[in-house]
Amino acid sequence: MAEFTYHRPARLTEAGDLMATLPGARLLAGGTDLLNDLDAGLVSAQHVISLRDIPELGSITERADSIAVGAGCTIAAIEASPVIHKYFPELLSVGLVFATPQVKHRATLGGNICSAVACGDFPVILTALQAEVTLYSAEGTRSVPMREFPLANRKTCRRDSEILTEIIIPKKPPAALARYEKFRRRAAGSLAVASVAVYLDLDGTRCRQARIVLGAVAPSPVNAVEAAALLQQKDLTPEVIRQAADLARKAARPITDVRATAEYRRELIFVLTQRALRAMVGYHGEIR
Amino acid sequence: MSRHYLIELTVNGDLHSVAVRASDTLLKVLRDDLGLTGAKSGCGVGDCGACTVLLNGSPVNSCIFLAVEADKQEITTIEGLSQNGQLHPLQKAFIARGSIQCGFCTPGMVLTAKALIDKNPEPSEEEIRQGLSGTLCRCTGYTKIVEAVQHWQEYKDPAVRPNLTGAISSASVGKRLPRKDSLEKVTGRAKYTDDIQLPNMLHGAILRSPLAHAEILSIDTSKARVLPGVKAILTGKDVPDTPYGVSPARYDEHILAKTKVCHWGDRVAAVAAVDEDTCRRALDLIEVEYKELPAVFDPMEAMADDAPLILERYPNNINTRVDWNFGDTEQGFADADLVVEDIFTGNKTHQSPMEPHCAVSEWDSQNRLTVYTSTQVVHYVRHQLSRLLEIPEGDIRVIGTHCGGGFGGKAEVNPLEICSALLARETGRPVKMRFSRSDMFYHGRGRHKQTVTMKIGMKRDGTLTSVRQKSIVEGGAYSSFGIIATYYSGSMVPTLYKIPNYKYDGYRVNTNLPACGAMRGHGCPHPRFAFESLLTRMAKELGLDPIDVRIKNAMTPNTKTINELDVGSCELVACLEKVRRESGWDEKWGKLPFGKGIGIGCGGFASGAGYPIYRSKFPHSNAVIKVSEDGHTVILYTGEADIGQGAATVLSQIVAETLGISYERIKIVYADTDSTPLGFGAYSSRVTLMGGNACKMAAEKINMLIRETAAELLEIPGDRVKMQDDLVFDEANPGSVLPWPEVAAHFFASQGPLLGQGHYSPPEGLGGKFKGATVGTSPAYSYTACVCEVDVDVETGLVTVTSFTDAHDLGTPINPMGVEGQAEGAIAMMLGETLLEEVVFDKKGQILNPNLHDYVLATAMDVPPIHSFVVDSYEPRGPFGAKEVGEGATLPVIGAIANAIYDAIGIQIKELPITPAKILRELQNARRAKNRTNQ
Repeated sequence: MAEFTYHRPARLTEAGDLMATLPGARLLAGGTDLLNDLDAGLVSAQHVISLRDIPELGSITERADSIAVGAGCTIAAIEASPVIHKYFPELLSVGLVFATPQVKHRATLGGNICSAVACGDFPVILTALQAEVTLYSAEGTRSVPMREFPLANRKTCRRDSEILTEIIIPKKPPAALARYEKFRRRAAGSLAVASVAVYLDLDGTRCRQARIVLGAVAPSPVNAVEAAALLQQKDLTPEVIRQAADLARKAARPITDVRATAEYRRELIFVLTQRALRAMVGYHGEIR
Repeated sequence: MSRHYLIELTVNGDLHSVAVRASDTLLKVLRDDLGLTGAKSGCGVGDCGACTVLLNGSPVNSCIFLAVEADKQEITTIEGLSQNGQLHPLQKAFIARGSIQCGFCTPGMVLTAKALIDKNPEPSEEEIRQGLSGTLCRCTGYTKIVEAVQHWQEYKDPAVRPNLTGAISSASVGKRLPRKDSLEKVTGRAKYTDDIQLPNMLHGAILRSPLAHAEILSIDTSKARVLPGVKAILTGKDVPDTPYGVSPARYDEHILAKTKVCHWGDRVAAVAAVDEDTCRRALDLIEVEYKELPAVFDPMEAMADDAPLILERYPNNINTRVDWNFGDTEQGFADADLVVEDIFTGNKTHQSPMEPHCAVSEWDSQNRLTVYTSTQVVHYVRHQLSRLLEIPEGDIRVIGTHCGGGFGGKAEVNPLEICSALLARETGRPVKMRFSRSDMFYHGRGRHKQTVTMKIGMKRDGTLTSVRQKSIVEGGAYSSFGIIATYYSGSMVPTLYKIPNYKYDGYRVNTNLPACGAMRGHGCPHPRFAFESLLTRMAKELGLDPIDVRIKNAMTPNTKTINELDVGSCELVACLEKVRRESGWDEKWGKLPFGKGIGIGCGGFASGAGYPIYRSKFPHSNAVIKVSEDGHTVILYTGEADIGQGAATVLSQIVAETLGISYERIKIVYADTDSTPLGFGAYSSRVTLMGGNACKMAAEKINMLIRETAAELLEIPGDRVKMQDDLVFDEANPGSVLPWPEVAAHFFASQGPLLGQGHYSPPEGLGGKFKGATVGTSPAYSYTACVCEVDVDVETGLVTVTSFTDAHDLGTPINPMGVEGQAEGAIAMMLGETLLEEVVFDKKGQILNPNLHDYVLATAMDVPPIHSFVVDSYEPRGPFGAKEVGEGATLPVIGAIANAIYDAIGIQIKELPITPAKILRELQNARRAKNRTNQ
């Protein structure tokens, strides 16, 4: 690994000042992506700024109508949080399929979002949950909706001087629920071949509002707007679900790589979308 | 000079102040600066978990964790787990339950388990598998690891000790004794090659070719040479011209490329420098001018007349051609009621031991070379080094350290051993070289990918009448074990079932891909996949039960096969009946709902090759036993290797049993060409039978001397002396007794060293007289049957294996716990090869997945419960009736899984790995075909 200078600020403002004065500096959270990228020469850095000691980044707080998750919270910490258990059990199921126990103890939510790899898990569900991220810099603070944050594979709208500090997830209405379906080649420690996150606000089996977000089938999560719109104000019968899944499949823009072909990924989207929806409204039985 | 940061680390309760570079990983600091080598480097990118340590109680990958980030934190490594000399209960459970094999993953595995039970003292099996899923194990199949964690509380009482020493009883054979090396492995003290740090040691690295086929026009090393810290650079012109390889008839590779490179990653230059980072920078500075040549990657294309010729000596790139004809296959097919022919394609897989290859070379003051290496074959390594360096074998000492798994990938000399020796000679300093995980895929010699055309003729009652097989064996750029793999592809087919007529056409074809070598089950898994798949399909077509058909044709004891192999003990029928009963086969086969299935496969393998790889009159296995002067301890010296399979334990048990003394008295020294006598090593499943026979003979020599001495002391005739339970006594008068150590000490006092030596060679004249008849010969053959159950997700094609039931004829087991471990590990490995594993290349011959996140090994979550059984058997040629299990147990698995999928969805997938995408495609095709018929 190429050499770099290491900084470990104790305050967010200090980190912000460093980012402002050291262009090209890299932020280090859990390091599970950054270290591999540095070692492989995929990224270079003269300066690495550790976020380890910044207290604001490590808390999970309940607010009136939302939950604020510090960007530095590890996935393991999120899984252990009573607040998350109470309000967002769907995030626990994402944690279950996210990565190995070792990685979950280092990888942070903020890191997963900022790495923005096409097969990332949390950006998909957080987009479905209409989360917003807060970006801090010496110049000020701004909020960006999760759906606008990733721009492409490994590319986000975060400016070089900015630090992602928290993820705000709005509390769901009482009858709303969300679900994440991920397909992977083996049962643990495996990257997504394709994934689907669905958010539904239900009135019985009738859909008040829906969002369907697709993962690993485009450079960044795909908001399958037409598929979701089809569900709106409808009774979620198997046929309606199938039609929505078909639209989701059409919204996917996958590539062929070592993990799967584009064609297979489209098929997966069709199946996973139906699975998520059927599970959420309580249908069982074979799809198609 | 880069900046250093002073950090404080509390490691295992001790405070350390360490100056580190910002880029240093915690793993590097623990291993290199603090000397805590229990945490291992298996992949370097957080995929394998071998580097796991606890950070404030939580498991983390220390290889992707900066040391500076651990400043003022608490770290626990495996070395800190035992307190005041007391093992942690988990460590005791791992020892007692046989959860350790090669031991390379053990420190990470134990620590991951500790983090789990600290939070949840009574985890469910599901929680255990989940909790351990980030730590990969290639040996055990996880079964016994999960068991240890389930039962850890039973070892909480300090008085409860795992049976480390064995019972006082001298009956060792057949006992579930813990491994000889389990204590050092479970505490992190076991030294693997990469754990060796010699004073003034340099590091080395190899420059890989960026093209699959190219002429080297020039190499300019001038920029690299002036880089500070670089001590030596070698290119093709600096190394001996002698070609080498495995089989003398196919010595066709060079230490470093002489005039051209033949595959992406081929070896171009080697560098020695003060550290690995400097090596990497130096490699980047070497300028090589290539002239790219047309490359060929497909074996069918490679055989075409206009294909680029890779090595001049092999016309049409055909490196080995086998043409075997036994009986009259045409007549056999004419006599059949059903003839089916189909093509099955294997996959290119890799051994992927958790420990990457590593070697350390040093020349001493007498100009003698010592090489420490992770190898299966110290003897062959010495033989090749002697040839290549042109120095007598006696001036080379090869020491096999603990070996973190081999599976065939460490069964030949490797470039690290050769280059480190050359670089050490050049610099006058010790040199360490190791493969990265990526190197493992380019230089690690994976499995030959075979395309097998299998044609089988069968009578209406299931009797086989004829078999014709053609295997196109894709071998990569060099021969390695290719000639042997190609012969094995055919030679093992007629050993399981009685085949009256058999024809085999084998073509081993060179391509511009990395060379393939030996891998567990050598040459046999793909033809076995083809055969077992067809057998089940034909049974179904004839309305017969697949197990009945197998029993009908099963090999019988004391039979000569159609290709003239001598089968001695054989209990294949008993294996089939056992798995039929234990799996509930009769209630399930053909009766499960769509998507669920059950399948059967059989396998078997040689218990050691009947002939050496190169012509040699030396015995294949040798042993020396030396009893300590006080008579207390018996030291066994053997040239065989324990690569995790448990050889040290099994050989010690054989000696203890033969001598009539307790297992704890036996200490073993193995795989050191100076101190141990020649042993061909751990390949072709030979050690238990061949090494065991040599050790037994050495022990019998000791018995002779003990008997004479005791007869004198007890004043009785020698034939009345009996040795048992550490005592020597008069059989006619058991009251007349002496402690065994006293007799041994008396011998030393009167006659000097108490030594015994033994040797073993296979019976002479094994095999027929036809070309290639030697491959496949063996003193004995193992047999095994395996039933597998699967759930196929018919919407995505995902296969979940839900159980395995397997039965083995391995003769009489020396250590049943070790046997189960071998079987469970074999099954898990082949589950991966069947469903998950495959090296994928781009159009230029570069590997797209040379890592452990896209080359997918099974985790603890992927391996289902495995129910292993041993059937009664006794092999007269084996020590105490034993034969092999390590390779035979792999061979039924692909067929069993494939047949279970066939039962589940009614479709045979004929191409490995059986991926969800392939299954889904076939299901969709079937659906479309059905719709067409309906219209």
